[in-house]
Amino acid sequence: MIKYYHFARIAFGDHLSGRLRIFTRYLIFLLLDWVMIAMWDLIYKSGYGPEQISVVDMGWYMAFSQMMFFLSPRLFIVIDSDVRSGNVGYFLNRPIPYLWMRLSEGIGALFGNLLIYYIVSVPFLYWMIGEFPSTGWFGIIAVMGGLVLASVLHLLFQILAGLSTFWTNDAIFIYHSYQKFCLLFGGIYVPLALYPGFLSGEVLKFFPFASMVGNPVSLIFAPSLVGFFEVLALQIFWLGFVGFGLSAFYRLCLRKVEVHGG
Amino acid sequence: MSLSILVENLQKNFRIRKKSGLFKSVFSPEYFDVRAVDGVSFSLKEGERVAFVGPNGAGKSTTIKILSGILHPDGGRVEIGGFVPWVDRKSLAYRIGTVFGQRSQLWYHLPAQDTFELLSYAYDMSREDYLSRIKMLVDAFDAGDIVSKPVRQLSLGERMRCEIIASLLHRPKILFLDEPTVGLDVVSKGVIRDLVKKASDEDGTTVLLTSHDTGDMERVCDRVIVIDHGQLVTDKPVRELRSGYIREKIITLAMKEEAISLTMNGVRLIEAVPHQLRVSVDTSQISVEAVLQAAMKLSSLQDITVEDPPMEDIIKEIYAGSFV
Repeated sequence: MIKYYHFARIAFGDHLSGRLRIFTRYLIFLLLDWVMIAMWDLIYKSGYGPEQISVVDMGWYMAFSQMMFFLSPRLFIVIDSDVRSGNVGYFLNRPIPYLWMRLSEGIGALFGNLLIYYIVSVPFLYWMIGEFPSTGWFGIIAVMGGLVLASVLHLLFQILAGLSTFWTNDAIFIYHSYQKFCLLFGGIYVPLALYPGFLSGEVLKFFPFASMVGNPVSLIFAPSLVGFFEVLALQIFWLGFVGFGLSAFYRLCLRKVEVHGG
Repeated sequence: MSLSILVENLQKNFRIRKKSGLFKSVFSPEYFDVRAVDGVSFSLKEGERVAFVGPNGAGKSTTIKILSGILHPDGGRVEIGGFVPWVDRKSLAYRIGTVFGQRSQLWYHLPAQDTFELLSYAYDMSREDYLSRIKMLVDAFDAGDIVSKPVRQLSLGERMRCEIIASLLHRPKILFLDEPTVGLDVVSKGVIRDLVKKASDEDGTTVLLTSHDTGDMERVCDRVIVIDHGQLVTDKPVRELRSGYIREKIITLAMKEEAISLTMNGVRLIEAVPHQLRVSVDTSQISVEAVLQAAMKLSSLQDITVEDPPMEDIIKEIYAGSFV
């Protein structure tokens, strides 16, 4: 395991050295938050806001649900490029599996983002929303804790999308399809509790998409240790499930490696 | 000396999709096979340095990729230090080093020293071992000034030095070099060749090198394996390739006379300038001695040089099938 730690450590430092990239990505995150917060503000002012959630709590929910997609590096693009260029083959003769090497690097970059987004976002969001959530710091910390494994799960799905390039020759549309599932079933634009009857939030919360967004971010409304560990347990289950599937899928991909002669 | 590499009847096909109409390519695509390696067999002893040469598309790189565990063959047997490369990939990885001249194995956005450090962890090297080894290699390759620069900012020659350092870091028993001097200038080529040879001499590393540059094989290797169309054409020590296969000598004569005419069977004029004549002698038709005697009768010779033809010409002839 120590070798994976070092891959993550070096990726962490390398990620933080890309200051312009981090700054522009963060700016886009803030712009998106501003739009979502303003949209819900308008909905509440029009009298259509859900009664059980305050406009302030909804603002914080929206901001954190958007944040999840900004925390992870865009690993699927790296893997897509490795597969398309044939570079993936040249990683195979090293005593570290390509799959876990890229995941370690992704986790290293993720922790770089966590550091920045968690420290910088709270004052910015407070400035945009005007108040702390009704559950205070406890709610914010619970969500931040829940988003760590959620982002790792998102990385696993990104690797899955990246490896699909072996068959599709393009990971982008696979990733976009996956993202649409997250939008639909993950509770990104609307909390799962507000989903209509035919899309029961009670069922959807057991799906991996909710484990990445809806479940951890909903802790902002009612944080509790029990609730936090429930979210964590489901995330661990999906990490194991997707990780196992990914490992099997990777072995299948290895048979497709074709690096033509020079 | 035990066997380091054993290859028997190695075969590899690539399946290529046929270009066809839109409808057909979507619903009923057709494929054809390209035979990249077709029954190649050879072996290398420990510490041997062998050049693996052939024209473009001969199957050299494909063979190296199979031997280093990147590709699965379609047939045949391969053993590298007792391991089957595509089965025992991880165990083999600790014992081999690879350099692919046309691809970088370094992390492009990181300084080379970070790649070395990552590789030291990947190869489970202890800190003390890594630090002493990297110091030795960086000194030997005179790379102290370049290892802290991001790889993308290095020149090709500098990058290649770092690639070879990375491949030697874990003291591999076998080194696969796929066109390590491609695109380099004469000086850089010389440096790389000398360093590879030195590293191999010091550690007893077996080297299998592919190259289009005959200088690589002459300066680094003791033996040459030539393949073409995926098949083995010849497998000889470098010196035998010169002495056994060469039926031609190049004679350069410097003389007092401005010009002489040396018209004999088996003698072909290459170049005639005032006071100098350069001819090619087919030794199967006439001996070098007979040509020199004839030249001495016709002129007052001031200097004589007898050379083998360049290795490049020998290899060209082998490709053309003249020596098969």
